[in-house]
Amino acid sequence: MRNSKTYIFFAAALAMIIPVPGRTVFAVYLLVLFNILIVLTTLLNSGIKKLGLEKHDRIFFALEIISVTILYKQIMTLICPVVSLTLSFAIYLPAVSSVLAVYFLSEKGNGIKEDLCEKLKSSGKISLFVFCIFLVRDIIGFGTLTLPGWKKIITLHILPSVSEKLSLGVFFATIPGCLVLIAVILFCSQIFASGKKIEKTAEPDSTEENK
Amino acid sequence: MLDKENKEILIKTGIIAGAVIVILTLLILMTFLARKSWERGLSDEVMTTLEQYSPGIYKDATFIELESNLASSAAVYALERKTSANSTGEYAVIVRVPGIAGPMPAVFIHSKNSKITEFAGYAVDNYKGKFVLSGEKSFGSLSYWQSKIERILEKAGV
Repeated sequence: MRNSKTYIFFAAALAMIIPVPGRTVFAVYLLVLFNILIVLTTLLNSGIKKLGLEKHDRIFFALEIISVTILYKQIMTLICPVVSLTLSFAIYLPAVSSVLAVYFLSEKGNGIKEDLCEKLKSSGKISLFVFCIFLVRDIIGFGTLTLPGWKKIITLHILPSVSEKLSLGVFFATIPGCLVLIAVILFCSQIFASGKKIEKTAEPDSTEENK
Repeated sequence: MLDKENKEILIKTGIIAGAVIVILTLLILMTFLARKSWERGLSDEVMTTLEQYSPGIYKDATFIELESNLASSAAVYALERKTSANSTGEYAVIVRVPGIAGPMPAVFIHSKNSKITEFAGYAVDNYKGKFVLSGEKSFGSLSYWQSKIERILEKAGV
């Protein structure tokens, strides 16, 4: 069960990472939408229960996700048109990740506050992971840190200008490089998880010996 | 007068209908507001990219409506040179081009007179990645989109 949750976590993160260029500015826009969808879906779920409309909840969820995403795309076009042009259809992917996060990764809480806290915990973990991947790709791959600005992308050159002609690290800016990075992280997380499992199974044996 | 059950149904239906109307109104309002921002914002990005490609040549870019499925992934502009008062038959197209590092906004210039299309650059600062990504000029998605620019301009009525 724990293993399947790890893979669902990575699937939810990969849906936002792979089709998007590895610049931090795109991560900011995607993750804001992702968290808005989580909050609104949780609030809508609570509203549906109060109104007693559980029979038609899937229709409402689908309408809510689609309308919020389209509204967000228009707001994004207003704030920064070049980001809207670049993301294009990739803006619909946080919706997929939010469904995975809400239905498969988070626990249900009693009452709206607890439910919201549980959902935001799992969305927070995914958001932190995704943001770190984009940050690493932006700094090591492009040598920059990109931030959202009004009608533009603010680009800060992090690495010295000498590195501009060096292609070292540009591999991680590419999609195959990103997949390699994610595979290494998944491999390390599995080793860490199996190491913890061995420790846990060894503990009852050591307590029995002490007795 | 309504009985309790019908009153509850009416309240629920009213809430749902109200929410749908509010969302639709917001969507329509934002679509109109975002339209001008799309035209002007991308025009600024095109001019910035052209200024790096050919400094001091172009003065202005005028938006041309593109009636195509590509309208959400591309924009067409008629270019004006600083040395000429009228349009010189040069057009810029900013289009979302999928590449090895993901989709990037690429700017192409097409001249109607010479029928030559050139890649002017990306509308984002790729810094270290510039040399690797510009290598896609000779193969890959950039050359494909370069060959499609004339077709896009035809759809724009140019």
